[in-house]
Amino acid sequence: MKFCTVKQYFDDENNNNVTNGIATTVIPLPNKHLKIKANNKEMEQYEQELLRNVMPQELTKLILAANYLNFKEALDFFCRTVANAIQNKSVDYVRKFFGLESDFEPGEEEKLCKEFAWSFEGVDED
Amino acid sequence: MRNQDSSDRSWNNMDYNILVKIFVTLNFMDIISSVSLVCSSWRSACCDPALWTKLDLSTLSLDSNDGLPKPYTLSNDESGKILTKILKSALNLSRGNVTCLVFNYFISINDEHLVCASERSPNLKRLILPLNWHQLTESGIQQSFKMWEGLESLTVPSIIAPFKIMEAIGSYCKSFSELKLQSFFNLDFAVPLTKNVPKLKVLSLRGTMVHNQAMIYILDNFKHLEVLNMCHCQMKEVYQYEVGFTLYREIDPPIIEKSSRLKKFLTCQRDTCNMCKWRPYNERVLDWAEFEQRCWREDEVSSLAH
Repeated sequence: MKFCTVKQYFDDENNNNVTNGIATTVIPLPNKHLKIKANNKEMEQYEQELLRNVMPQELTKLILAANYLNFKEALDFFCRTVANAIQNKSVDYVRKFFGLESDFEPGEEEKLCKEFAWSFEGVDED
Repeated sequence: MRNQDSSDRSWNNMDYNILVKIFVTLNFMDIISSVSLVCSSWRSACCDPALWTKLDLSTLSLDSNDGLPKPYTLSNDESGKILTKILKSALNLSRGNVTCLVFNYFISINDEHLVCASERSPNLKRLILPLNWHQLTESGIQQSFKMWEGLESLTVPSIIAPFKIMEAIGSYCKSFSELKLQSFFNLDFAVPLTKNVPKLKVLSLRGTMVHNQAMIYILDNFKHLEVLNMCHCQMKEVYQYEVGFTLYREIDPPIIEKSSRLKKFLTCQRDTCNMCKWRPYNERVLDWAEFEQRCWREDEVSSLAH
């Protein structure tokens, strides 16, 4: 079940996949889910609280932890959060947010941008 | 990067499956205009089939700067060009995996749009056309439907019956089985329809005006018909020698009797039906447009709703 991986985690001596900080956030989630699963609104609020101040780097670790622990609900939630954060944003904003760099060939990137220039109107302010 | 953890993973090499999981909830406009341009691994994830089963252009919000309120269809050059670009970008990323394509109800299409779409969606099974498709020529229609051999289902709105489209489907789409029409349904259209798609299984005429004689004809001639939706229809009986006609709501007993062999025959309760009550009887164009668009989008047959 959900807790097989957690047991394995505690058994492993040198586990680099999940730092302690993340574990304390992710592991209590199933219990919380069970307690208030009937009430979606409450769960939403709890989740909003949880991620109010989380930085993109933290989000990366949370996602990786949830993935490693095979915790589907948490993974779904974190992925949704990321999706909400990048909705209707420009390419530059998304790159900055995640600390990403473009690895396209220079000519390729220019070509793609030209193709999509019309669609940059109407995106949110950075 | 920010930390020196040995399992440090930047978003550049984030797990492909996780990227797909994130992107699958995004609107296609976000995908084509920003997410797919971030870096090559993200672009790769943007091509995953999970993102492209359905391309729904009806989620596009129309440019409010135009000052054009609905229901006026935007058929100017500018919106046409933008539509072409959207189709190309989205369908290129989709790698031919789109199986359901929904055009925007209010944006008109021409040959270029349909051919561009057909060239990039060879696996299309379901097509939902916009209100104004009348710029399509016979040649454009033939060229497009030739690419859609696996097409099974079509929704066609508008008052003019789609003769040429059904001819093309008859020629090229041998698996075709479901049709939703919003045009005027009379004998002139019903007769060739039974010849073009003799194996039709599902037919929805919800909200349309139908000729009594046409209904009798299709019930006699569509031997494989299983589901017929006549909710919210208006019946028309034309007198002999076309001297006049009557409009009425109740479906005639002969039609009801012939429909008894069908697996599903859907009608609404005229007196209490909300949709029928809402049907505008005045000339207000905006009312009609809203009613028609609802008819286009919703359907009592779940496979024909989108």
